[in-house]
Amino acid sequence: MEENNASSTITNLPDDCLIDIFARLDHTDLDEISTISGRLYELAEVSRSRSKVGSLKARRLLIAQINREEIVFEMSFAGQYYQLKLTDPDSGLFEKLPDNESALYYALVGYLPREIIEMNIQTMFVSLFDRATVLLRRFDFEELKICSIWIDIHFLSFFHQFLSTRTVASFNLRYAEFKYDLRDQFISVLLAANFESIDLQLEHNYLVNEEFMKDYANSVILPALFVSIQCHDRPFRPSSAFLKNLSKFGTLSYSNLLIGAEMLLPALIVRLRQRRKGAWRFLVTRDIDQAEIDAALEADLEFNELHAERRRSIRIANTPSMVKFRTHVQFITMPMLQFSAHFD
Amino acid sequence: PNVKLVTSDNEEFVVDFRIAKMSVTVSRLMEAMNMSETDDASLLSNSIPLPNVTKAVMARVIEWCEKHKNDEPKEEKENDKRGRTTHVVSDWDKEFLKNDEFGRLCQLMGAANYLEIKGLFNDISQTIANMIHGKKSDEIAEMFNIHCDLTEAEKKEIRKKTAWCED
Repeated sequence: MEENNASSTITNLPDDCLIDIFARLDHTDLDEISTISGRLYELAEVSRSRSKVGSLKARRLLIAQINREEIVFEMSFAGQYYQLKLTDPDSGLFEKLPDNESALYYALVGYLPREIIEMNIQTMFVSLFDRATVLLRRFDFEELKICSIWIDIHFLSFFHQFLSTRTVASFNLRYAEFKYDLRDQFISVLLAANFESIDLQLEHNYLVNEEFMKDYANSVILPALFVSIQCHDRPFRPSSAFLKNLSKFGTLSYSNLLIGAEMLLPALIVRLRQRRKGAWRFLVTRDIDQAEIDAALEADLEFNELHAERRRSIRIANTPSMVKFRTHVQFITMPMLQFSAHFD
Repeated sequence: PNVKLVTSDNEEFVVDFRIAKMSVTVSRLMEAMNMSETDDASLLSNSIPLPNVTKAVMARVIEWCEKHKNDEPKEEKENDKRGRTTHVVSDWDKEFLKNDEFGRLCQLMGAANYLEIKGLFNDISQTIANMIHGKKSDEIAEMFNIHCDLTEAEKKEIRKKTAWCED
C-alpha cells in the first residue's frame, strides 16, 4: 500500500473490494456509477448479477403470451402499471400505462382457457428474453403470474435465470403447455424458488404428483398450495407415506386430491400444533366418526361439535389455536366426501 | 505470547498472538512457518513479512484489532428498506473511520482485504457504500476524484442499457 496521496482513490482498490462495496448499493446507485468509467461499469454489472444488490419491491409481475410471436410483461410497481412488449429488440423498455390501469390483468383473470400455441421462437426472441431479464433484475415481486404460456426451453431458461437472482413470494400459473420432457426441469425451477405460495390452474394435471407435493412441503415452512384442474381427471390419491408431508402444508386446496380418512386426523392434529393460520380443502375417502376422534385426542386437546355451523372443532386447551373442520357430500354419485378445515 | 509483523517500510510491530490471529493471512503464514502459541522460540525467532502494508496503515489496523479482539462472531448482514444488504457499523467504528481522509480509507480497505480481516473490511466497505448511496454520478466522481474515461456517446449507450422504463 502506498502512503496517502492524491492517487489513492477508490479506483486503486482491487476489483474484489469494489464489487463488495457495490453489492451494498441498490440498482439506482449502480446506474449512476456505471456512467463514471468503463471499469466501474463492468464491475457494477458483475455486482448486479449478485442477488444481494438492493432491489425495488414490486407487487406483481404478469407474463402472458398474446400470440405466436408476442409475450407481454406487465408489472405493478409503486401504485403504477408498467408494460413491456417483447416484439422486437428495440422495444426493450417498460412503458408506463396511462390512467394507471392494468391492460392485461383483468382481461386475463377469469378468462377461460384458450388454445395455447407453440411459440415461434427465433434467435431474436431469445435475445428479448435476455433483455427482459436485464430489465427485471432490479425488482423483487410479491407475486409472479404466468398466463397462457407455451413453455419451451427458451422460456424455461429465462424463468430459471429470473428466479435464481430475484425473490418472488408467490407464484400463479394460469394455463400453460409444454413438451413433457421439460416437466422435470420446470418443477426443479419452481421448487428452487422457495415460493411461499404456489397456485396452479391447469387444464390437465401434468405437474402435480405425490413427489412434487412432498418436495414442496419440505422446501419452505408451511407452504400454501392451490391446485385447480379444469378437466376432471380421476381423483389423485397419495400413498400412506404422504401423511407426514400433509401436515406440513399451511394451506392446501386441491379439488382432486383424495386423502385416506385414516391418515386425516393425525395429520390434522400435527398441523394444529403448528399454531399458524391456514386452510385445507380436498376430498376424503369417508367421514371420520366420533370413536376415531376420541381415540386421536391427546390430553391437551378439546373437541367440540359446532352444530350451528355443521362443523367440528379441536382446540389446544387454554390457547386460541383451533381447527374447525367439516365433511360434506361433493357429488351424490361419488363415494368420497369434500373435506375442509380452517386453522386459527 | 507476541508475534512480530514487519511492514513494507521495514517497521516491526510486536502484537499479541490473539491480535495476529485476527488476520487470516497472518494465521496462514504463521502456520506455514510452524509458529505456534505454545512455542515461544518459534515466535521469537520468526517475523511475519507483510509487504503490502505500510507502517501508517498497520498502526491503524492494529488499533482496530485491539478494540475488537474480544468480539463474538456476529451476523454481518441485514436488509434495509430498499433491500440493500448492509452491515451495521458500530458507533466506535464510525468514529474510528471518520478521521481517515478518503485516500487513507482506501488504503485501510486494501490492507483489510490483503490481511483478510473480515470485520474491518466490512466496516470500511459499508462506510464507502454509505458515502456513495443516493448520489448522482458527477457527485460520486467528484467526491472520489475519479477521471471519467467515457465519451458522451458511451455514457448514452450505458444509460440506454441500464434504463428499465421509458421516461
